[in-house]
Amino acid sequence: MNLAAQIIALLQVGGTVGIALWQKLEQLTSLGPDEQANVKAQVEAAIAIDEDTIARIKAWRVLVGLDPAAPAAADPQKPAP
Amino acid sequence: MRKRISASIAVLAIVAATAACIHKAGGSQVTPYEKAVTYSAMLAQANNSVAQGVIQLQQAGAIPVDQTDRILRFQYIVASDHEELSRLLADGPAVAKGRAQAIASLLTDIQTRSRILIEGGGLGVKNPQSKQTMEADVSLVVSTAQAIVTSLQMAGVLK
Repeated sequence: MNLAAQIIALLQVGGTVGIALWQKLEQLTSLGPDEQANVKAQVEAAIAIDEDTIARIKAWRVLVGLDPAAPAAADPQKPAP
Repeated sequence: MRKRISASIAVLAIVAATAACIHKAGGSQVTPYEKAVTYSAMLAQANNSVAQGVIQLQQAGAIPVDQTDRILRFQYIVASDHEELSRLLADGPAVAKGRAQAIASLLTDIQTRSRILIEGGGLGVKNPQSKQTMEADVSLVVSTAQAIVTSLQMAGVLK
């Protein structure tokens, strides 16, 4: 399945998550005229998004009483108990 | 009502597919390296959006804490690996070429983890719609990572 088809699949099942994702992806795929500036902007955007993801997950872990530092060491591929 | 919502989402999906085409102001050609960093930012965004969705689902009582934890651990590791990847790509194609081994290793790691998670049923989500959403997300991570690899090969960064 190509990338566009996978985005469609995600949107079809993703509801509000999918709609928000579509809006963000639309912003990310509109580039300016200068290559260097585009590379810098996309890399900075990606790092900011990843840091936000990490911060949200840590905040959620605190909220539910889990150790916020644990995901870095945990193996997510371990079968569920 | 449900049909109407599905139709709205389908329309949005078509628009999204169009929007997913990377384009440049003034209509000039997008370089392979620009494509690579754009796919990279898309990967980060997909991971972030679904992490938010998973947290919302848990808070709404749709999935239990332990299952949410398993999905978010995966997303945490993808975000960490991807942040490292972004820093390796930050200085442009000429510098990235000297970091090819580390870049390839991170992309392989992200793809391998994602595939194992899908094929091994490691998401652990029982609710069918939540499961579909998560599988679609993880598949998107795999595909976007592959699109980054292809673009970096075209840019001469990876062999």
